[in-house]
Amino acid sequence: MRDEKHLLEEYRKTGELRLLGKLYEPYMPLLYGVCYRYFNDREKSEDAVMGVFESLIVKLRQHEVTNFKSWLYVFVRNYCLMELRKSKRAVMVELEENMLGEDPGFDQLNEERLTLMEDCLATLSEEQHNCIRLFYLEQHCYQDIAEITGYDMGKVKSYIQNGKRNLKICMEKKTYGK
Amino acid sequence: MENNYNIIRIQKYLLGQLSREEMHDLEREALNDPLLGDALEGYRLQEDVNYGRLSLLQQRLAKRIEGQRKEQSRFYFTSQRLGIATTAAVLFVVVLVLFWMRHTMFPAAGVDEQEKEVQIELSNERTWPTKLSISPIVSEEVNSSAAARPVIGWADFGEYFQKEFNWSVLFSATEIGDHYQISFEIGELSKPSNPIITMNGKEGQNVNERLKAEIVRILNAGPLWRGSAGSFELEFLP
Repeated sequence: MRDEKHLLEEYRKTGELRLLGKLYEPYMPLLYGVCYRYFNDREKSEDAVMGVFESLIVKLRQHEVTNFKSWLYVFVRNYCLMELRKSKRAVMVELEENMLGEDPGFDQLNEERLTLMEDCLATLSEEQHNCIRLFYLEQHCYQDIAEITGYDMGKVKSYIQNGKRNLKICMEKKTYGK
Repeated sequence: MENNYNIIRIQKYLLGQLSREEMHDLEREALNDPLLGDALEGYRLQEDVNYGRLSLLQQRLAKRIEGQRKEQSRFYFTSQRLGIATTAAVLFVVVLVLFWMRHTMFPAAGVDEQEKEVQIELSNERTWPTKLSISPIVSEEVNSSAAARPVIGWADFGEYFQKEFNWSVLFSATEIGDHYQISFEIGELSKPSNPIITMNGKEGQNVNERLKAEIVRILNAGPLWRGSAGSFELEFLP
């Protein structure tokens, strides 16, 4: 992270592509995966990864970015959506909880909040409740959960994401008395 | 790097090479890390991780970066050449303008300069000798009793020589510090004959002909000598 910050500052000052490349290259495989999710096409995804780099050449000299990874993720998504809009293709992109941003705090529940969580778990639908319990409390993978519950793998993931979001809302309500 | 580590995990995940616990860990990380989550979904859609194509993508990036470096160096050399050419052109114009100004606006400047040069010459005027000294040369080969000496003595001979020397004409034929050795035989009439004149002790060194003639003249017109052969040294002094 410190290296990233240093590289960002240096690039902003000098405009040396070597520095931006050093910063960007480690993310390329993941970014390709993100792009593929939108384009479902290898070449377009590769072009998008390079297109994002070209955009960053300008953007990162104009904007001061503190959390590069999060910023990059949002930028890539917007870039892909803009490209899809340009090509006027109607594409269904599943909106998921994780698009709302990182939530590192969810995993760091203390005992006090565990009680709250138990109460909130009871408010979830049966499918969400089962999947959340199996995933977070019993630490099963999606495949296991699909086998145990008989749900489709995609559904399992969806139940976990939606359940997590509902659980979070419920716990916030109970914590702040809303 | 963490991201390279993640892509390896994604590949193993898709190939079913991770344990249940590792799969759970990755899925949990993906839920909290949207970039990883989306990438995982993308690769799941593609059904594999193609390292060959990822490597080509990295090469594209490397080429793009290299492109800027070449562009920068081309620009640097171009601008460097342009800078040199501009400087040379400006200098050329300045020299031309100065040359033109010198010859059109200040035509007398050249004359003044020449006059100054003359003045410098005058200021460096040489100092010519005004005196001379005579001293006998004592030779080990010649018996001291046989060494000729002027009848009037060396001191008076010196005064005679100083007085007789035609300074007004020959001052420029000598320089301060020049010394000449004059040796001769004494003839029957006690007069010097067959004089040999050398300059600064070096045979063959050219002695000014007019000076030589003047020395011979003074010797012939001078006092009588006692002895068989004589020699003395003549030195010019300031």
